[in-house]
Amino acid sequence: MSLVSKDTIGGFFTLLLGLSVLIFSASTLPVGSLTEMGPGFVPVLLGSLLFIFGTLIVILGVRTGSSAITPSPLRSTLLITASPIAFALLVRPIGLAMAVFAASLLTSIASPNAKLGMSLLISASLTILSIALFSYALGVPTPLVGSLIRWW
Amino acid sequence: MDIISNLSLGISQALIPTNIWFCFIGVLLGTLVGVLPGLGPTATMAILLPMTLTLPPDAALIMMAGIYYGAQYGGSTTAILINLPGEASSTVTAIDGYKMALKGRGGPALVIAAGGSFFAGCVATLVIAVLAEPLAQVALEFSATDYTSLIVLGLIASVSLARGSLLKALAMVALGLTLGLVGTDVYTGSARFTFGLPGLADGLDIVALAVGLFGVSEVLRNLEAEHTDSVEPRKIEGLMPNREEMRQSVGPVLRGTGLGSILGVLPGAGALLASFASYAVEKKVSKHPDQFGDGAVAGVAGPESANNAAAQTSFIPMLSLGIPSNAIMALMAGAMLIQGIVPGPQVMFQNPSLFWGLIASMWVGNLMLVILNIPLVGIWIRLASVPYSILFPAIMIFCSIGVYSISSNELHVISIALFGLAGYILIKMDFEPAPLILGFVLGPLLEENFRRTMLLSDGDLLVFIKSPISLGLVILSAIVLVIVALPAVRKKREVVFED
Repeated sequence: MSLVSKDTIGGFFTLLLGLSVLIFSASTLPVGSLTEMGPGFVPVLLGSLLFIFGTLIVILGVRTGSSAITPSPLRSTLLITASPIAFALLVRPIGLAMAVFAASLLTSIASPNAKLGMSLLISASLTILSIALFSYALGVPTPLVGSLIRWW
Repeated sequence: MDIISNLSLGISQALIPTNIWFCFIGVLLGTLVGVLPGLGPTATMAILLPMTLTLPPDAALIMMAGIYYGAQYGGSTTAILINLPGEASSTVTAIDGYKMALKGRGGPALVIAAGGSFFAGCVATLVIAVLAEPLAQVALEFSATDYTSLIVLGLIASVSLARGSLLKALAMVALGLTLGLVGTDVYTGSARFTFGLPGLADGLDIVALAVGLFGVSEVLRNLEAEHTDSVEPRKIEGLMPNREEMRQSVGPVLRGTGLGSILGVLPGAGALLASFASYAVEKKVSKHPDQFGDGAVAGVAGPESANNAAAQTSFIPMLSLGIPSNAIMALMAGAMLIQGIVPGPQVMFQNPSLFWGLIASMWVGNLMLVILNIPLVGIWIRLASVPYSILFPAIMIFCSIGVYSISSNELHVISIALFGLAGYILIKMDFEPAPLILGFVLGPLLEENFRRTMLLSDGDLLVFIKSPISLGLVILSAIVLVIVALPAVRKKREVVFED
């Protein structure tokens, strides 16, 4: 039995989240009463529920024991998560085409056995495919070339 | 009879060329994405959801429904031919279906699965047509008190019948309800959890939440697993089942259809439960139970019919009561909300052509499924063996552009990354994201009815057990909770959901 397991960590985060919701809504929103509920009433209720559920999950997890958390591949997780963010930040300044290319390059190098040449090839074909599909076939009005580049 | 006039209204609606077209596109895209490895129906629907938003409401819903059964059926194809079930409910099909494929009977297995599904789909559609209206009539009479209890029952029942820890599922419902609070409070107009961001005033975007939780986090999860890249698909020699196989599948198809139609209406894991139950029943009634696991025709025909029937009848609670019973129906409800249609009993009466058109389109869609799947099976199989290293960049790009194309809002695209990461972390701790999306969709409805009840009853909580309808629903919720918490049942439940 270990204190660091799926249930104890998960439950702990749940109760922490419940507590934050509870404190945040109780201190910033008028709670009111059952007869006249303010906007904070239901948030306080849900925060308490989350807190209770989280506590129970931790207690049961400690008592019965649960499996350990398997480690995640940090590199691929970060790269995959970065991809939509990169797309969002790039699409206006440099346009759809290059934003797609950058975002797909980020994902395609995420796989542990990725090779750069192959990743470039995948990203280039995905870029062409998405432009054909979204810009031409579906008529998405996002400019292919961004404002920053055109302005030059 | 009413049903006949309703259905003929629906059929005339479903046969409008644009609706046929979008039904076709939906089934095609659903199958296309559904056969890809690692993408079940929920992920498929989440990823394709943005594409339906620009359509008129009836076409959008017909297309979403088409995507659903397309994806569902696509999962069965890969289960049979390459032992790669796209989703939980076709894991059962893989047991005997893949064995049949190994024996060179893959073609007949596919035809039996398609035929069974088609039959089940037709019957289940009829069940919806018969049941939906009386149920909605009852629900229309519900007061805010009754409706509050009904939503609570819906949430509790759907998490109880789903897989995994009950406590964690309840926590996820509470989290979903909490996320549903973000935005402007309808009663007082005050901002809640918006942290001063104007983009959050209308609440979290359901498309971004769904794409993140079911699309992006699925990619993250899949990348973690070891990938045995591309399985060499079996050659298919001949499609038609022989007389013996036909004879063996009649009974299972009928029983599966009945079982699935009933189980699908229950909240929670309708299709999944139905296919497991049907497999167990077929094994029990069979004269040769030893053949199960070794390519028994009944082991394909029964579960496939059952899960398709259940997939169809799981529309009933959402369409007639406004209460989605699983993540897929929550996405359907989300699509309706985006179209400005609040799911609930009133839809059928205020918007009969949309409602009956959607139901009749299920027939059209099921027919298209058969037409698309049998002749094109070679293409689907080739798609199923696309290596994941090419697939996941495409999924990610599709998610990003899809979400961006709706409103050109960068914040929504960034949030799919955050929701995706959050969903992935939750999955790692064995918290399933499905109850979260249910809570998110039902949250505003629950709060509104709860607050109205309390306002009308002067803050008297006992009102929930004073109204007879509400009392019945409260008792039912309590029974469900107690039953699931019983140690004996809990063990059984774990066995049922064991893969």
